[in-house]
Amino acid sequence: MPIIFKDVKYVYGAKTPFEYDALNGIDLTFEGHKLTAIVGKTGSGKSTLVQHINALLRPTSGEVLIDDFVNGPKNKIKAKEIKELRKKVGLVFQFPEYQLFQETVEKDVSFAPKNFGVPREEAIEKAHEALQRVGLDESFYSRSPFELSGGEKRKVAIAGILAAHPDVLILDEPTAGLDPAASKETMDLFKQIHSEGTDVFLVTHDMNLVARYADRVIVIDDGRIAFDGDPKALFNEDLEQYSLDNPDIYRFAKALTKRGLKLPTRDLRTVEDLAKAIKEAKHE
Amino acid sequence: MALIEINNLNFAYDEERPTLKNISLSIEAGKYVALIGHNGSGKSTLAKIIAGLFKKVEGDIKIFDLPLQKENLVKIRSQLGIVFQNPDNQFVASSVKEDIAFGLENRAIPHDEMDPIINEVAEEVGMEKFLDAAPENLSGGQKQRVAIAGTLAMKPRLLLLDEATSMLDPRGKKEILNLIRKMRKDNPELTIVSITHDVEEAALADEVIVLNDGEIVLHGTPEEVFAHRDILAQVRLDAPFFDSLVVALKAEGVAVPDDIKDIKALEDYLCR
Repeated sequence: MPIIFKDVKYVYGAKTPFEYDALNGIDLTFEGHKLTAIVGKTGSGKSTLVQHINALLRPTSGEVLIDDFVNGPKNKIKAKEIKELRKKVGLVFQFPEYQLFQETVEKDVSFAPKNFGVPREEAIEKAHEALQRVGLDESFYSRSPFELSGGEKRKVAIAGILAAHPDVLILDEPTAGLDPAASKETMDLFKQIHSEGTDVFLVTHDMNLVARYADRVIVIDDGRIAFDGDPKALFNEDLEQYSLDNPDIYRFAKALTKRGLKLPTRDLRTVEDLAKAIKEAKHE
Repeated sequence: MALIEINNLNFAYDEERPTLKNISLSIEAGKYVALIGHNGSGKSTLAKIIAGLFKKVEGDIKIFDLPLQKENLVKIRSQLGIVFQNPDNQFVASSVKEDIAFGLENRAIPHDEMDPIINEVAEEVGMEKFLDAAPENLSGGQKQRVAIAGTLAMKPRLLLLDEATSMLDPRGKKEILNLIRKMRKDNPELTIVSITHDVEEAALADEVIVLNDGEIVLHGTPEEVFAHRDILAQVRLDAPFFDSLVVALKAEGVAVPDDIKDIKALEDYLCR
């Protein structure tokens, strides 16, 4: 789904002593089917940016076009249109488990499709399907979401978004606080959903995730776009200037290159890729 | 002396699903111990038991040489501090100074004695310039440092960190890890038990205890524990980057001698 930001500014607390420019003239075009990572230090504006895509925020000036929907500062948007938009654009907030509210897992996950007008039976079917995707079997259906472990709660919350079958999926720090295995499962699921045709935006601090999963990366710094392009090209830059860390594999690869070990230039996504590159370099 | 001595601990929230099974361990004073395990492994429950938050558990448990039983709980709790995961859920006051003072006030420390303590612990955690700052103006890492300062003000013998870095950004995480290093240097008597699933953090500890499904599966130095990549994979934990890379290199047929123990040494070895 094409998404276009045109000179978008967003000011928090306008005309108060706390006035603060979170976004400062953002121009971006999203076309084609990519898994896009949006990175930047805390407070850089990356969450603010993605919240414009489902019209949770309206720009202070400029506009965001999402398919045929216009999110501008003054245009009148009908509640019905917003609902349509949010059906298309699913947003998984940071720590989404804090938003669980129903008394059973099944009710919680079927809430979104029901809310978007899907008949009850079908909504429950969609909920079951979404729960299965996140790896929760029928023994969870009638349990209270509040008695589950942290990782299970996260899965329920994600299932709640997936059940509505959005065309665009925005993930704000989806793996924060998860253990490594759960992080990997969660990201592999999103990768799978992406490969089935959903556009995915990943907001994160974790550069290892960017190296592993992203096709395109955008760095936001002080409300401006500081970098937009291929992850590999970013990792060859000095990331310190954006207060970001290099992914572990690139940090090590850089250290080796600096000391004269010539690594083949290609995408490094995993530790195994790095080991292969080192082996080739040693055999030269 | 063992600061924490646990023998045959069993615990269940629900009789049918025991959370901790037959745990025995001992932690010496002054050690930094990382307790790792995946979500639901029982690590937080174990920490809560050590913190004296449960009145009744099965097993022979001594914390600070006091048997874990109802009449000792207050004494046990008064000698330890806990920092939890969410930086926003444990800031109780409207400024850093008042937040640190909260515990001291609870203990009825006279007002004129409070200031020097507050200044001292604020300096220890590097927040001395923010004493009047409000929580909404602090980063996650700064809030966690204030939470640690609040516990240090009580002069605890044991500091329990319950996933204290897991909600922080990389910068905040680094701040806390640097602070742990500093506290260990400034106060070698302080015992730190850190519950985490960050293996890079665990690699800094003196000892690592790996929990899985309520049982201890590994206990040793980080080096000993992270050598068991097969077991770690079974219990769904990653090895730190260094250990993963060594395994991947070996799989590619690149020999790595056993005396290479860290990433710097590996870099030297590959570039020699």
